[in-house]
Amino acid sequence: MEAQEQQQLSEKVYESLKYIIDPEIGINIVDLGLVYKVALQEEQKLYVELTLTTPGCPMSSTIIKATEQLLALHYPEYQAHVELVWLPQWTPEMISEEGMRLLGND
Amino acid sequence: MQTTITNSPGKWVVLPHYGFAAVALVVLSLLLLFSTDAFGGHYFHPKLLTLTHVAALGWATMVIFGALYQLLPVVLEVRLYSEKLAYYAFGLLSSGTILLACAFWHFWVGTIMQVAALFLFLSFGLFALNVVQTARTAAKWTIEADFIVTSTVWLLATGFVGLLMVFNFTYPFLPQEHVHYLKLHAHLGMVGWFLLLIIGVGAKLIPMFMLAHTESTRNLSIAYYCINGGLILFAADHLFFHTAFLPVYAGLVMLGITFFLLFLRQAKQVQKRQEADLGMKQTFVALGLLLLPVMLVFLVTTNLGLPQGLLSSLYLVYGLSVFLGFVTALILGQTFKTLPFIIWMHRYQDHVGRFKTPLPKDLYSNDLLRWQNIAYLAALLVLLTGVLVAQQAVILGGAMLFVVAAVLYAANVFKVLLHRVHDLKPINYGSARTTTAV
Repeated sequence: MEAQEQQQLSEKVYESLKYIIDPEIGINIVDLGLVYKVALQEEQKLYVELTLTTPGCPMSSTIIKATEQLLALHYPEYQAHVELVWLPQWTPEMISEEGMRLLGND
Repeated sequence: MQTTITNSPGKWVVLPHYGFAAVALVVLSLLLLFSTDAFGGHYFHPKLLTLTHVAALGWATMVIFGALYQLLPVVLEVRLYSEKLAYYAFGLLSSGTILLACAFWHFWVGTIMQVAALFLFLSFGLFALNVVQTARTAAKWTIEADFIVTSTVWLLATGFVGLLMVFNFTYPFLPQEHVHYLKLHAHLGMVGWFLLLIIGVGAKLIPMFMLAHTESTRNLSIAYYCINGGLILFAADHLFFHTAFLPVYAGLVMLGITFFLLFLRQAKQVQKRQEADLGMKQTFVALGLLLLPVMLVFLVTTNLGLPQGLLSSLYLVYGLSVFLGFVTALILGQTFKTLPFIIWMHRYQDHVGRFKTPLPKDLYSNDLLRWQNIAYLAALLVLLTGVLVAQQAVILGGAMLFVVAAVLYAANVFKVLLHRVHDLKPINYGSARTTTAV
């Protein structure tokens, strides 16, 4: 796949992941800055790297499952691999402008 | 890079605690209705002892045990050491509380009270063992862990003094009068168990809910040493020295609380989440209510020459402001920050990403919660006023409002506990930002 196509796919995946809402905060995981990386590793293998707001968060398995299920539903032609990482540690500075707006920071 | 699975315990470890505590709160409010005559004198009264222990054990400790099994893995980032120990601790705490409440109400100081005290002490022992063993496996030791582990040690000490007092009824062996040890028992529980634990968990959860990252835990460390220092000095003085330094020890505890509040203020200054839901608003109300016992402790520990009647009322208001004030207010709010989330995870884990699911906040009634908070604050205000001016009719009014608050709380808790999944619709890939579900 061409680099440009990969880039387009990555952007599309980011948009899709906005359907996953952090249940406590009520904002999607992309605007919260929890999705670190989306990449096409090998042909047909979609790699997503994400984190949580705090390492002990009980959401870990739920959010991985949500991401896997959403990708399987939305991109059946790809094999999704979702990895939870803790480095770099998430900080509120990673929240997007849109996320900040949704949190009431105008 | 590290992949993890969730550390959350099974739902049957946690949820029965919330159910029992909700029922205990309703029972407590009903008992209050029939105890208005008990507030006219000394706090060593069968009905007041019943109310205090239903509040401290059946309500507050019960919900704290349950919540901590869920939160300990969040704070320490490890799995709970043993779910089996948690089941046994629940069985002993629930049966011990029921037996103790019956024994105090009828003032049966024999076998039933002794069995109850033994059950409770055993329950605290199993809980402490579970917490300490869980903490031992934590990769990273934090000041929050210090607070939590130390609080369980104080819980054991509180239970031990209580156990000695129960056996002292039948086989008198303690060198001083009963009320002397009751003061020690009460303060070990209020400060050592409830305050330390609430600070330890609150220091992690409150900034987390506010999306505030506070780098420095210096204020928390100072709070830890001040509170423990004050409590140790108080216990030693109370047991062995009997000096007039009680206000100094109270001052140390107050200083510790001040540093905890400063830590929260730092968090508030960097919070990214501006909107506070009703659960968080109630939490801030609870923190405000904490100032009441902090001020009253100086009145009851300093010899100001107050009339005996007023001093007795102040003692009662002091105790009420801790159990029905700070601790109850905090639990009333935090229940709806933790319980819906736990139920949501268990009910919707398999559906997320495929179907539109509600959010945890959709599992309870916001209207019930709002009226619960209003009824609770009105109840507390009327009740404390009634006790202070020693007017039974006013106390009865406060108790009736408290029944309303307790029933609203229990209704909302059971609404969440009995929540079932139904009619899930597939995600409509229209506009991601307006989708309200996973």
